[in-house]
Amino acid sequence: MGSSGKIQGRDGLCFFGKVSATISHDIKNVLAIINEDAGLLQDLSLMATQGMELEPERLVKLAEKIQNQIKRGDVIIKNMNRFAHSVDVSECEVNLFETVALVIALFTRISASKCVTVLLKEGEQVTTKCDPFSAEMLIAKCLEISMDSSGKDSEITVEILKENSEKVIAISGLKQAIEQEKFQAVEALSKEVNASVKMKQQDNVLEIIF
Amino acid sequence: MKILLVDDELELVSALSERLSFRGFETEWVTSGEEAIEKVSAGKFDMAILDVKMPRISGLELRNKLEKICPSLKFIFLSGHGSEDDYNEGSCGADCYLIKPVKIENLVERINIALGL
Repeated sequence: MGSSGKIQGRDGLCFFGKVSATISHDIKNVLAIINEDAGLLQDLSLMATQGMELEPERLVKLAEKIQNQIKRGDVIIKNMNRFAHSVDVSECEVNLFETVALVIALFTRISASKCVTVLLKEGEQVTTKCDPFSAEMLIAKCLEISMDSSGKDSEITVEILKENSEKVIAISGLKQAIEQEKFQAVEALSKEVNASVKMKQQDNVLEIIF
Repeated sequence: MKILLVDDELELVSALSERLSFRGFETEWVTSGEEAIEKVSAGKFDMAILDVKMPRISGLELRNKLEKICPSLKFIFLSGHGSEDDYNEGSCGADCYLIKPVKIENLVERINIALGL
């Protein structure tokens, strides 16, 4: 297994840990729901043996709920697997739309905790050659500071564009100015990914340019 | 004895509430901290079972708010994983801290202990 080698080890590990912790939390919730729904099935069955009427529709609904949670868990694990494999190679052709979609999915819990909705605009499939793990980390950090800037009960929109030779991830919906320290941190990270970040103050848009 | 269940996972909290009601507990459930504050402000509850990590108001923050409204309220925390900090902070102010998925028998035992039943 290769490693990015471009980003500083500790920062990369912290990011990996943060995403892993979020994923494990989501999986625990899925398991807890399956546990309660299965427990409810058990309770109802037990009560049926004691004479309580058991409606078949209720059983069907509970079975559907369990199946839906299994589907939910499967999506979480697929995303986890994709994320884990992003450290396999230090450089490859990366589909920016798919990568942004993955990061948004991995950060659903974090965006929910910040009470921010993140929308990904439909767009063209733009690819660029870069380190996939570092790109994910840069996108995630930019999303996080954008969420902090937009504040509670807000919405930010992400769009992937091609502007001449540049490939741009534009995050709009920012409100407060980004703290200088935080901007400098993503700026430093972007350089390690051979990208750059730009704040378009007049439009309240943060751009990641590859 | 009335129990309020608070968790942003609707399916979890509704199923758990029903299972506890089968075991003789009077329960109500909500999916947010704001609703929990409304419920406790409007009616008498003996215990609140809170998820630690919820959007807007975390379980730990919610405990402090609910305690102000109803100082006699007992608390049990449920958590996905939680960090050591969460555990230390949660367990010091609550009657118990359980990790999901929870065995209903364990939860019932903890509720009984906390409520002195």
